[in-house]
Amino acid sequence: MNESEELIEQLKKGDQSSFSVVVNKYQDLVYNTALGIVQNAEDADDITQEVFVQVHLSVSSFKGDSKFSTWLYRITISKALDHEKKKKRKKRFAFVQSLFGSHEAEDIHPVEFNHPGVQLERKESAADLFRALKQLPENQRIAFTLHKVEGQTHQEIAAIMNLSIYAVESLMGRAKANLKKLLEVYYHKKIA
Amino acid sequence: MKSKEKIEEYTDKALNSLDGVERASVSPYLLTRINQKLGAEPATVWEKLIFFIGKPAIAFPALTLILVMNVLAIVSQTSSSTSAADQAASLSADDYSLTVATIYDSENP
Repeated sequence: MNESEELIEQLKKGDQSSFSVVVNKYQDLVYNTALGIVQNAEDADDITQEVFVQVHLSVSSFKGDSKFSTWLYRITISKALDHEKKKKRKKRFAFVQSLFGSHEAEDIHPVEFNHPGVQLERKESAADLFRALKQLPENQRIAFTLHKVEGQTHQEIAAIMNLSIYAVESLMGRAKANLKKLLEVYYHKKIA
Repeated sequence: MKSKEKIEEYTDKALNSLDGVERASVSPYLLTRINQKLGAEPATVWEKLIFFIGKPAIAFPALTLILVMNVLAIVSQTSSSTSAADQAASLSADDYSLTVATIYDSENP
């Protein structure tokens, strides 16, 4: 039994100190993944908390068939997508409210997202990429984010998304092609 | 022609902008905030059930349903109560032979 497996076993037994170790060890993995998907620091922070609460409550259901980090990625992606759906519903409601003159409607138009880990000279281009990324289909967006933001290999992404490596490669290819098209349209409008 | 090249250049730059990106770090005191949330979360099955029933989205429709069922039960009972009373009276009259006894009855059992 390796160190990680031992840690998870302790966590299953309800050991509070192992939970602290797990949080410290994986917090950036969870936060960075959530941030790449929702593109908002506060939301990513909330999702990170929700993920670890979920881990604490359902660690007994982790059978060890996959790596613990793979399980964690799956929970994070699921929570982030749920969060996005909730936010979209709120935005729709805020839009309806704004039609009736309510001033509570805010944040209808998304603000530019700047990932804190991007090098300064690339910030502007990265913001354009993140804007385009939001328009991709869910699966393509997740695969691209895991690869580019989290640095996961195609094999690891396949394990996380329960897909074959071939399917992940195909998703990545389509994601890049779609992003290229979207960016070209965006820059064409910007330059013209 | 020049603008096409520029578009291509910008696009490539954007597509490669995440190369070498560093992992973003979560804000401090995450564990404290998680523990606070865990303290607020119901732990046992019963607590979870009470937490679920206590939600306004569940509690109000459930209360309304109970009230409607009660009102329906009262209305149906009051409409059938008169006929039920008559039936009960005739049944007990038959069972206990609650009829006026005559001299003819006592002499011819």
